[in-house]
Amino acid sequence: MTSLSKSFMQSGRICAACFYLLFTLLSIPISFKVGGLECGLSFTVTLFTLYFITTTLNVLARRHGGRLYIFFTNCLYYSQHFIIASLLYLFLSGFSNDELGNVLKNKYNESESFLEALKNSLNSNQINYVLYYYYYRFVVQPWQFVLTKSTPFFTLSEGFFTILAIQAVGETNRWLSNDLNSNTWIISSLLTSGGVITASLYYLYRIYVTPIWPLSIQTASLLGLVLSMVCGLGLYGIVSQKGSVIESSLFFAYIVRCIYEISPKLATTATDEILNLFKDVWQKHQRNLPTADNLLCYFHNVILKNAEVLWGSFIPRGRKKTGDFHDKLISILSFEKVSLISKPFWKFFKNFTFSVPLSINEFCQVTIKMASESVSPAIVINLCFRVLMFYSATRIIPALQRKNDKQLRKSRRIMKGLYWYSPCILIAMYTHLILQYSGELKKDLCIWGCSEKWFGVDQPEIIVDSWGFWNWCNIFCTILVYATELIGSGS
Amino acid sequence: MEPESIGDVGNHAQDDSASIVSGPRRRSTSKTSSAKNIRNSSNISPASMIFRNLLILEDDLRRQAHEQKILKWQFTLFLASMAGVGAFTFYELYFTSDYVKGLHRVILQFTLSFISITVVLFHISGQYRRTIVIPRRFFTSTNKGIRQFNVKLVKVQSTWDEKYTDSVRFVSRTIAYCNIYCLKKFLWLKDDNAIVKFWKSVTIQSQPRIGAVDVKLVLNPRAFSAEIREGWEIYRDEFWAREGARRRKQAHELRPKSE
Repeated sequence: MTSLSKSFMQSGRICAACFYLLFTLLSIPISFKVGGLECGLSFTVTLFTLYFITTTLNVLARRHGGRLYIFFTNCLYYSQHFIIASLLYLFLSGFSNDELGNVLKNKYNESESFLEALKNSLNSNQINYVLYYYYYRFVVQPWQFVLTKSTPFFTLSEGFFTILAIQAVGETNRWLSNDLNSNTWIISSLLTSGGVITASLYYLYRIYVTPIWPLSIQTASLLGLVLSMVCGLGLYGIVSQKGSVIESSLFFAYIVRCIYEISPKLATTATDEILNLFKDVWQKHQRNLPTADNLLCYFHNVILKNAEVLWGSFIPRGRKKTGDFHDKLISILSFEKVSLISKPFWKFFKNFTFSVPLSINEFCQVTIKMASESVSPAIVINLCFRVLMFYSATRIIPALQRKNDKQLRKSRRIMKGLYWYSPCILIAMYTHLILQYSGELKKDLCIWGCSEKWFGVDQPEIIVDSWGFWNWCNIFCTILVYATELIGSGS
Repeated sequence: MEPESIGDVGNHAQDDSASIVSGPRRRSTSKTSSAKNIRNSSNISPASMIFRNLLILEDDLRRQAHEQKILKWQFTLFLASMAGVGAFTFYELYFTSDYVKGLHRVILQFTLSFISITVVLFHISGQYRRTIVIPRRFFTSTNKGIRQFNVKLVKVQSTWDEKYTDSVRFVSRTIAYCNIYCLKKFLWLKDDNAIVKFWKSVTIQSQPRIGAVDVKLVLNPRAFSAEIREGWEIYRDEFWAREGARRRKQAHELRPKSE
């Protein structure tokens, strides 16, 4: 009984977590697409804050509080799953106000709007948008600032953790090849590496063929330098036996992916091409199937019509009966009465059994269509890649630090705390990716000649694209880390 | 077994030395010396001890040769498969009459690039040298190493009747194993069934030959006399003959215990 209830609670917890993640992943892009930038940022900061507060209360209750507090915080924790839709509607309706939009665009009317609110305190509409305005001013704008400035953190940590994962794969491969002395694994790793390098070379070829990204002289020179360093490092690792074949191939593939991340159009176009290929294959498959083959059409065309025909055949039979006048009159009246009484019920039954499932089906289709239009596949793939890298880092780092049991237990506790707050990190990462791909982040980054205090007056300003700059930094840091690992491991 | 074989070889050596020293062989003398050698174990002749060490060395070199041979054939098969698929892809892309286009062409190009890159990785990672080049030179490098001991590792070329016998044994052994598996798996027969016993005896009689059937050590003619070289050949052949008989007897004796 105890194990059964425990497994039931475990599966319930997993379902709740999956529901929360799925609903969050679908609702955040809807808020950005339908409501705009301010609505999306407000929605995400509210989700982040709610999850952070409820998780902290839950952790504190489990440590210090009694059973009543644990129950209360658990109810509070799981009730936020049902608040998501309400929050989405609240922010969508709130930020659709035109006056609020005007006030947000023109920040010089701040005092006037506040004074107007004080004068017309009975106007609920004014009060509502003033509340939204101040919420945006004091809660959402710091959130936007933090997300804008966190590009280097997300980018560089992703690169570092990817190198960590690549080296873990290399060590595993080395253990399987040498210690187990498995010829099958050697052949498998060679084939896998060949496939990875071939795919990477194809995507590298696409960079030069596709005219989306204008290759300037500086960019082409940097690309040549990067590719030379990567190929040199890969060959050095393979030939000197310090790395391995699969490490070098994965490293090359990751650098090609980073090159794609320098331009968002390039990444989006590549992802869309892959999905278009699958879409074409799926449509060809769908074209062969008959269109009106679903259950609702079958129910409407076959079952209901047959029922009508069967019902209609009763009345003439009653009318055709012969006998004396009294029996004839009674039978006619009874059949007509029954048919008159039951006709509205029949119509209601027919419409209800057909229309209600149809309306539910259409509602689900509208929701899925809205979500599929809002969710960008490049963002989702990037998010999955980053989550995978961060999760593998949380698994690899305790294994590397395993010096004694005390440190291992402490490290596991830290990682467990990180798992508790992982949806917060997920929401922040997802919002940051949406801002990056929609171009809402601060575009220009000044790296030289910014202020007159540090530089002279005559120094020219050098302004670069923020995302591209940090991706180039990520590429060079990754190459530096991997080179240090390769050369340092020999000593 | 070993005391008998050691005594026998000692007897042989004593016979050789006696014939050299005193001419015609006398029966009473050989019997006496054989009895003396069995009683005093410290009197084992140096020749038989050296022959025993040579036996151990030969068996280990035979095992290494077998391993290297398997490794070479496995990776040769892998490389041949890749070359075959690559050649077919190349022919399909550039030499067929009708022009290949669309997704089919992309798949063929991807396959050709994939095979080329995999073969290049196979070379530069050192696997080609480890799995194909070094096993090919196994005999040359081994003979360089053991030259200072005045011995040589050579392949034994089986005659046609020996190869035929090996094939017959292999086929009958495989058939017997399949029959035993089917009888136990599908007909649920026990080990004490007469039919199962028959097929087990077939597997025992069809065991492969052991000993110097593919690789053997040869003593250097310049350093060793003809008598010693002949003695080594006789010693090794008799040892493996007795070992084969012992294994078959042991396999037969294992059956009553399972009953």
